Amino acid sequence: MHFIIKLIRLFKEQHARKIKRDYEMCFGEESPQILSGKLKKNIDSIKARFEGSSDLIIREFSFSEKKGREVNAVLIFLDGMVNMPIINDNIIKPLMHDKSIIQAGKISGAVNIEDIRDKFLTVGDVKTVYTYNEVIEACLSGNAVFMADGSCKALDIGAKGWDKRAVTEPTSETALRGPREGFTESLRTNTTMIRRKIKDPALKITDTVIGKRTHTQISILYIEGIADPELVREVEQRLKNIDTDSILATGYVEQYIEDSSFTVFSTIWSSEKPDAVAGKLLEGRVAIAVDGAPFVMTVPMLFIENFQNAEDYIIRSHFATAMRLLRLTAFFISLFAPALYIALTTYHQELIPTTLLFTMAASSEGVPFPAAVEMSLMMIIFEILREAGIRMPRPVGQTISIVGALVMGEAAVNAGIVGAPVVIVVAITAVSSFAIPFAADGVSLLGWFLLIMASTMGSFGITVGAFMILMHLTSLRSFGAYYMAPLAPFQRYDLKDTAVRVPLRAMNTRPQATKPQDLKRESAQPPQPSNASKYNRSRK
Amino acid sequence: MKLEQGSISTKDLMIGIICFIQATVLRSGYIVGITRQDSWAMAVTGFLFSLPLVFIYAALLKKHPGKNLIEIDDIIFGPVLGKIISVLYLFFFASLAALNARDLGNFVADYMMPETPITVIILIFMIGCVYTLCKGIENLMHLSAILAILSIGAIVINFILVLRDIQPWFLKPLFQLEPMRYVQGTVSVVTVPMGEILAFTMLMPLLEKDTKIVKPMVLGLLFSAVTIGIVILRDIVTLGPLAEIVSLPSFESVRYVSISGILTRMESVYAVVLVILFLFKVSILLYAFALGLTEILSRNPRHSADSEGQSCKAGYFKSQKSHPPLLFICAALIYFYSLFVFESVMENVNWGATTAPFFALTFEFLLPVVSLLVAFLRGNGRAKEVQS
Repeated sequence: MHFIIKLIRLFKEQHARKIKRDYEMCFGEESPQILSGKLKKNIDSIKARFEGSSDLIIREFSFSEKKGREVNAVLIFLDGMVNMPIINDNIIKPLMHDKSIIQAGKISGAVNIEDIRDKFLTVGDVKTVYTYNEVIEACLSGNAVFMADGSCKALDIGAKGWDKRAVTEPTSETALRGPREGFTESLRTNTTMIRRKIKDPALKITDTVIGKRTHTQISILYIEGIADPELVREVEQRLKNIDTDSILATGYVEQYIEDSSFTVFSTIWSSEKPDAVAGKLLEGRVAIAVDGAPFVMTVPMLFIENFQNAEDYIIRSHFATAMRLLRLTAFFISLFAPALYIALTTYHQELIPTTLLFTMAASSEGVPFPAAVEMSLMMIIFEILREAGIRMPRPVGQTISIVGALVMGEAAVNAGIVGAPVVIVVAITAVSSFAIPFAADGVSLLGWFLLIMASTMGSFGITVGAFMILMHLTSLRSFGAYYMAPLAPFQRYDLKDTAVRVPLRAMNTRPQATKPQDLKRESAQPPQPSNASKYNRSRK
Repeated sequence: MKLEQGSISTKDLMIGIICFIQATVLRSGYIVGITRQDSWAMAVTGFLFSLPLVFIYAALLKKHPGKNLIEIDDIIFGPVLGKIISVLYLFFFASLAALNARDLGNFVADYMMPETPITVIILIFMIGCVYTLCKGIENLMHLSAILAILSIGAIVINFILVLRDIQPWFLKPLFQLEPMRYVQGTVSVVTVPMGEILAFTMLMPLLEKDTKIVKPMVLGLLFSAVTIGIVILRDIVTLGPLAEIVSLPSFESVRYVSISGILTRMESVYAVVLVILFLFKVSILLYAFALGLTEILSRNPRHSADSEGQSCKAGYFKSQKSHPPLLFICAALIYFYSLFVFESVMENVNWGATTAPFFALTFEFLLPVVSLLVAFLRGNGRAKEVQS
């Protein structure tokens, strides 16, 4: 008898060693603590790890494995993160209630947890896990963990179900004719929305976890056969290099993986709209979705993407082109208007038409400050108003805009503190910057740089400043792509989606800036409709 | 020094040369001063006579692929004499950079900012150049397409807008000046804008295909010659005899533009384009000077092109930036040089008309020809050694 017990113990030890070896082979690292065969010990260790967490639920129960032999088992999950009906109906109920099924089962000897997984649990996503860390990770990601006495394995049962925001219309980007759904804070919902746009098994979604504390799940999406494999590897590598304890939003990831931190322009594009992201994926870009953020980023980003909009491809190309040109104009106005005003009024009065010069002189008569100071004052006030309008609760925000626009603007002019032309210029600048929401932040900062150049060196200063900005933009890279492509370096074929947006039928190649593997969007030879058809398109 | 192989395409080189020459084209006054109403023909002859220069440069560079001018000197003339020749080249690059910076300073001080001291103008200008080079010479070359579009667009628009004011008979009488003047004009065109592309020989190791340089250079020169011709023609038919008197004929002819009283003062556009093109040109000259100085002073010169190519591949996704280490010192040198390079504008004009062609020809023609001859002779000698 003593010999048999010894034999059993030896067998168990060997089994434990085998599991450990398997684990090491799978994960290539030193094995963390693996689960013990004793349920009590397992529960105690997990309780110790979750010490002080009131939301941990440990549901102990027993079921009869064989007639007359009760097995103690436990279900561990975090309250609020699981879907209770699944726990009740699909896990506990089959095990405890359906005794007939249990008795029919042919389980013998030690508890075989795989049998339970295969024969009793009516849940779709079940995995076998071996270590405490896996158990804890499963609990933290909203799964339930099932353990039974006598087994040194556990079951990670997919029962995620927490409260999430419904899919709503995005607030930062609105659509007139495009799809209205926007991303939510749930990663899986977001990837599903993209998957539903691109129904192709070539759309790959690979996951990583970043953040020592937050354990944020991050998905990389790309279309195999279009996206450059080099680019995908680079994205994965950069994500792997992130060493931080917290990722709370897309912006965190963005700042860790972007090429250059010392720039006011963002080199990673992000959107709240699945259709826009799907479009980018089809251009050979790689998307990065972060759990807990209603934005999905795509790389590489080009400068011109600041002015592109998903709606551009939906509306007719003439109108889209007009809108593009309008946005570019708005960009230039918001960048140069204050600086040009200062340069003209301070150094180059001869360039202003004479009648306008008289009007301007009359309105700024009695203003105590030089034009540059006036302009700086109004720009600071505007920035404060904007910031206050965004941060304050919505009802108060409206009051601020009324106070700001009507009272301060009007009163400042009437009181003779600033001239009316300055107010007009600042207003035009502000409105223009709203037309290009993506680049607006950078533009408002660069505006100050140009303002300083203009107030010291006039139009010469603006020219040198503009050249420096241009040079800076040209020197930027985003994941191997030239930021100013297709303008610098010049790419003739990519110009069809820049200042002009050609009709979709002419947009038959993907942009070369992203180095796509498959350049053609359309098949080489489109099927020719039969000549007999009276519905033929007229071809000239 | 982090130099990368192969990021400038031949297309960029061609457009870069166009931009480089455009900067001088817009200041075509010195040519009009020599050959008067026939100056437009100088563009044609200038182009034809600058072709030999291009072939000489190309032959030199083809013999030593992946090397720049200073390295080629070392190879041809040996370490001591090569260094002396290189210093001469560097003096030429520095002089050109200083002269152009001064030119721009004079222009801005005369037409845009009359009350600002020229020292401050050149200082801001040099800061712009240094910033440009800090961002990488390849990026500047990539940018050249935008600049070319900008400058050529400005020329075309200006040309269309002055059509109302042109008087074609200003071109008469055709070819009535003494022949010496045409020679002088041709030499001026060859040396001052065209031959200055010698500076591009310092960029050759950065080319994608460093063997294909004749075509982009010739095409660049051809295009530049066309624009020189058009601009001078426009100035002459708009201004007539006045073109010989004013120092900036292009600037004055653009002043004529007045479309129903709304579209006036087009010369401000011209000024902006000129400043940007000069930034481009002086940046390239400054790069040539700084890189050359670095190479003369460095003890272990740049390694062979192969290792550079590999390092480039490894940094596939890294931002491409390369600027010579002595950039700031060189920029400061050129800044002070430009401050005392000329006492006055008149001195500048006089020098440009009389001395400049010979000064430039020494470096643009004489030294390269001698280099090529020596290389040829040494190459023959070496071949014989091998045979015997």
